[in-house]
Amino acid sequence: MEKLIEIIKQVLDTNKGSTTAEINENTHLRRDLGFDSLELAELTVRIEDEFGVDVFADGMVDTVGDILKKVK
Amino acid sequence: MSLFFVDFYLSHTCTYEELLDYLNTEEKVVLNYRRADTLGFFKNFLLAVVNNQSVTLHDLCQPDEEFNIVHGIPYVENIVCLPKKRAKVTMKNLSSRILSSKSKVEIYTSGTTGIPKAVEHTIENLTREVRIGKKYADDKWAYAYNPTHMAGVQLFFQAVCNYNMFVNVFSLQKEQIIYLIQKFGLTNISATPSFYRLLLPLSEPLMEVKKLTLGGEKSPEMLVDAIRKSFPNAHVYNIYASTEFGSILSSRGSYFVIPEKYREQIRIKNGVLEVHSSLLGVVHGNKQISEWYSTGDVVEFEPGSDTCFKFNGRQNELINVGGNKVNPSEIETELFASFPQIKDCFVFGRMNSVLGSIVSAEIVLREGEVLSEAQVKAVLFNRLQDYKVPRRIEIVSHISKNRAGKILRKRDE
Repeated sequence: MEKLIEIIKQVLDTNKGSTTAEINENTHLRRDLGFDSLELAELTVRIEDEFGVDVFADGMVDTVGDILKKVK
Repeated sequence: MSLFFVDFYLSHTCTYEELLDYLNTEEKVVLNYRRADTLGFFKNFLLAVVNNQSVTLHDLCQPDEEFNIVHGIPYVENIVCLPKKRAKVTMKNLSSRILSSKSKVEIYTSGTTGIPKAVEHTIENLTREVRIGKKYADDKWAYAYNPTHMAGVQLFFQAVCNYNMFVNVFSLQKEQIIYLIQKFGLTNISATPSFYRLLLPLSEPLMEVKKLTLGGEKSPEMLVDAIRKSFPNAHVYNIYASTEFGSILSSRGSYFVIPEKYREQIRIKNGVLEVHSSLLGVVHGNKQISEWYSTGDVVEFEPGSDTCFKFNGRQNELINVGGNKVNPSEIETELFASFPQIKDCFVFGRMNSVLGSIVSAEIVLREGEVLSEAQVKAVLFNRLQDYKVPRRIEIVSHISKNRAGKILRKRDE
């Protein structure tokens, strides 16, 4: 979980400037964090590098919790 | 005693007299030479050519396992015995013996993607662009290509048909290359843009060099400017060539024009350069189905002209980011322009299921320099549209290049 949050923060930092938003399992990637498709694509690639899984492979993923399920 | 070839790394030197002696006395020729000895390779190659023997050129440093995978069979040296009594090769006739050879030469493409394929050429084809004459008699070459690929072969013939000296600098370190250029007073360099990029900047300009050619990759303006600064007395030419058809175009600036003699055999269709089959070598097992061969090289006409054009990357090199096409060369140019800390960079598409591809980059920094992914992105977001900004930037110690010194464009996903 911590690693995932770290990765999400990395995407936010390098693209939108730093964020102090709280991130938990219910955080919605697009609605709460404002990710656009390019950022989601970047997130996928970083998660793949870390966990070896393409989390968007079978459809859109909406929340942090959804990602966790795929990564376990 | 005029020098033929110098290999600093292996401490090999050979004069033209020694070469002729070899050509006139050696009894065995290898038709598929693979020893890691560049001088040996050249001598053997010439021996085959002047005796009308056909050869296959294999990479000299390719590991056996890779050879077995590519060819499907283990390597066995194919040796042919030559008659003891044969017409003597002399300094006077070496050039004409080469040019009139009936040998066929099989060359593997380096390409930028995919599996190597073999293309067979006649000596006539390979020496099509060789220029012989008094004005080339004193050329001394820094030989910077893989000797077994098209560019290296063409350069070899240009040099040897004029009895020029050439010094092997392929795969050497920057300091060694500069040392050799100075030591031998080399006047000509022919290499890929990557070679020059790794050589520059020079602490002192090299004044003796009078002619430079670049080929094999798109040459960015900035690089050509940097080259002119380091080689102030040199004329700089861009060469356009491929293993399939040899070299066909050269230019003094970034813009090329199709020469008169090739107007019927080279054309531009839908912004892509096409070459008539009459200029191509033969690929065995391939039926040439159409009259025109698409090079896959995208061109852009000079504004206001329909004859002057420059190359704008490869057709299948464009990265498709959710429908938006990105030219990796453009991003690389931007990186070099914005960050002097960057020594080398490589932009490519990385597959992902959200957008198909996203732009990624590998960056090699100059010694002692520090740069972070966040810093790079911060600047690029201000200069490029968002889909063009590399999303995953890795600072690396070196970039994967293929054996001909060209940067591999497509990663194996």
